[in-house]
Amino acid sequence: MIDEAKYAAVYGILMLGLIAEVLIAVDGSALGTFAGPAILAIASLQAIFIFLVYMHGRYGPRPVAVFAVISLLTVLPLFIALLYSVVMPHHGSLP
Amino acid sequence: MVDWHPLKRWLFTTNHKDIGILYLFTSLYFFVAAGLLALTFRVQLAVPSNTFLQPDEYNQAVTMHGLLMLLWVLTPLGAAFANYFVPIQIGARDMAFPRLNALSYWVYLSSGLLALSSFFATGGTADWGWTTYAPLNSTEFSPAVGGSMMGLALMLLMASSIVSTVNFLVTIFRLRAPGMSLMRLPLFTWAWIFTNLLMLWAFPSFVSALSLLVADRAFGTVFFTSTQGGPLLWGHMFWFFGHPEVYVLLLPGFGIVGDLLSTFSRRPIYAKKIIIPCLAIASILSFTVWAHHMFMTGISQSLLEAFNVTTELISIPFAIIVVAYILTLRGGTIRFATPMLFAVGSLGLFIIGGVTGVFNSSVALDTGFRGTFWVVGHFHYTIVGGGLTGLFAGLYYWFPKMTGRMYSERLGKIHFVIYMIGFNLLYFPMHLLYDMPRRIFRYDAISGWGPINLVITIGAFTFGTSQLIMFANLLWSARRGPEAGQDPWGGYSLEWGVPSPPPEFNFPAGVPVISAAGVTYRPVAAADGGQAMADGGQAYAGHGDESGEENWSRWPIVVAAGAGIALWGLLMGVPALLLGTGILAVAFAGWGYESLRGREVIEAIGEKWPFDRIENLSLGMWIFVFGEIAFFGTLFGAYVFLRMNSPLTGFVWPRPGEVHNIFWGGFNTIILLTSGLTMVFALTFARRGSYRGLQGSLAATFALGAFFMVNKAFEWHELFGSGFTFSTNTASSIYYVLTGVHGAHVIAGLTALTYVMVKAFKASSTNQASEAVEMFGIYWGMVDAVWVFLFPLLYLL
Repeated sequence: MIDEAKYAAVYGILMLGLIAEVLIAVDGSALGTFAGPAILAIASLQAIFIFLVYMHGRYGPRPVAVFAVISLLTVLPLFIALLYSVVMPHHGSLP
Repeated sequence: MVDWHPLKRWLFTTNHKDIGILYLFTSLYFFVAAGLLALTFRVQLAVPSNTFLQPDEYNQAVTMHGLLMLLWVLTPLGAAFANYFVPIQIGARDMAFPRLNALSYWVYLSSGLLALSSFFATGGTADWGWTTYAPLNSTEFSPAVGGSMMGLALMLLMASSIVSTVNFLVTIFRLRAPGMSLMRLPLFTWAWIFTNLLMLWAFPSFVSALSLLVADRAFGTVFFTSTQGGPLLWGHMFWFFGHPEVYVLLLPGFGIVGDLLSTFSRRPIYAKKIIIPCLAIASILSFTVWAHHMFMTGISQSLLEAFNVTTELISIPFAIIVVAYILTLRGGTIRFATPMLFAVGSLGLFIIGGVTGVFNSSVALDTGFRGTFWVVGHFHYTIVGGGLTGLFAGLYYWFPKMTGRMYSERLGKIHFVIYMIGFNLLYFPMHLLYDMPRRIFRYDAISGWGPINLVITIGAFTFGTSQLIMFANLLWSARRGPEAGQDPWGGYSLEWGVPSPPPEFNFPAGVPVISAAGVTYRPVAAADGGQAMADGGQAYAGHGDESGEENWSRWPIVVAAGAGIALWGLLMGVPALLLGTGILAVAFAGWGYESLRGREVIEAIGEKWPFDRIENLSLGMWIFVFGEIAFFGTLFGAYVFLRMNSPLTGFVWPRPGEVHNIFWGGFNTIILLTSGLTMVFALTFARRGSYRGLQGSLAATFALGAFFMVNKAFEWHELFGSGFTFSTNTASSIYYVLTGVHGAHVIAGLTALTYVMVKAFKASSTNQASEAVEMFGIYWGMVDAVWVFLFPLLYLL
């Protein structure tokens, strides 16, 4: 029963996260410009709970987690470059 | 009476050596096809104002040559040797998942045939160059259906490669013989590990880019035709795959060269403990250099500087490896047999390619060289010189092991001499054409490029002709050559300790046990500490069915055929689509009828670090999930790019609730997350032995997943009705693609869940079903985790 309780607790956390996300989206004026990052932070926490408890905690040892983190880091430079490509001023084509 | 046995063997085999040979022949076939295309367009460029080819024919020939050589020749040629030799080099009797190995090959062949068949579609094949740059890849500039067919062929090929990657990584990490620590692996196997890691994380990004491209071409989305996405988005997505791909092509040959330099100089590899970290550093850096292909696209100055630095940095680990290779030869007793000649030649050519690459890392120099034949010369020295030449060294090196016979050394050396003359005549003069654009099909005599182009074309024919000598030599020697014996070279890796060619299960003397003193062979019971393997270890020791027939499976080839026909039909007509889909359904049902593990009773009995505590199937599923992270990560990257670019291009992204109903999306999120809960309950019940709980949980998961899809279908219908279609704007395009590919994952999951449910309902004990439930649970968790990001991105932000 311990497992079921753990899974149900995580499910509850996921639902709370979902409610919080929707509330922020509907009226996040109190958070101002942090509303978007707050929603993404909640989503990230939800994914971590799914990974740790629904997937990793049940099925795999630590090297799997390391592998997963490396996988995430792999796409990080692409994100940075994509962001910089639009955030930084365009210089136009060189001669 | 016709004996179909040999044919059936090649169609249904799951043995890694057979599959290696299939890869070898198929990749060499594509090599000939791609080479002939190269000769065709070299004839066109040989003299000024030539009319041998029309512009469109020229563009198609160049495109097909590039794509075939890179993706259907070089990578699979490395896979041919890896399939044949990596299991032996690590001391395993086969791959971790032999049926998946067969599937990878047949899907590879199917994708290649699909690519070639695009030539015969109305309007011909893709004509946008191998880089598939936007907006040339759009239907406006490349309307031929063959272009879309090439896109689908590429996606199919990527799927084959990713499956193969999962298989190799599990095999190398989990199936090493006792004492075969990671540091004792030969350099070729090390290079193959890094090649596979690169493929695992780079190829899914290309699938992402291709998904957007196919959506643009087939469904009218606007990713690469809009100002928010456009050429810059394609450039980033393509080169994020494209540059690691360079190392995918290079590393296998590079690993072979290292092993050969050691073997033929009778010296251990110099500084192997430094070479391996250098390979790792180069692999990591390969994901940080891609935008040096985009110096001229107008990206920001800070990016130019960053990629200038990373590109120069990546030359350092390769320089260290090259120096270590050269020092390996110092003081050695060098024998210049044909494999050694090609190994040394490969190293020399790679150095030239590497040095010219450093030129290209400079933004200032690249400004002049970009888009000229200088670049063509540079990358051919790197990829053909470093990659293909190294693989040819491996072909001569391992030929005696694969056939049991020696090739003609004399012809081999003649091949080498003409190869090197042809190669340098072909590619070196390209550096002198640093002012000739590489993407023109004709030039005037006044340009002065004629004489050099003529020399290049003569070099191309010399280079091409040299390969005929190799083919003749090897084909003749395979039947008539003198017997080679077990170890003609005095090689140090495990393949040289088994007969030539190796028997079905590789090690007739028992399990190889590696120690500092050398290799000994022990009966299985002693090697695994008394733990019996599933088959009692008899097959490992070579006493199993030597024909391998008991391990044949007909389903991999049927799945590949079904997939190829279905994708062909997707563009060419409903009957073919239905036929392909029907074949796929039958094949999956047939495959599902087989045992989940099938021949995958091959379990680890030796070195497993760092994955000691995880089973082969679980690790395989996890590695697949890591690839999915790259796939969805790149799509999320595209979303972020489009979103951030919107204000700069005057497009107003829809506000939350303006187009999408937040509560509808939230309701669907609840459904999917609930299905995640019922899924983990299913595993708990399976392990606890509760039939009713297991069946109920699985049924609930299926029902919730199906409900999610039905709900999604209604939502799409509603949005379409309101005028929010694929092509409305970039916000609609990315919405449909992201939810579409996620939905495809849900549908694939439901299909797999059907299989799991059948297993669970038929199993005599819940333990039998728990493994299938566990595998599916990992996948379903990933589907949930992706959605928890999709919901806020698409509905709330």
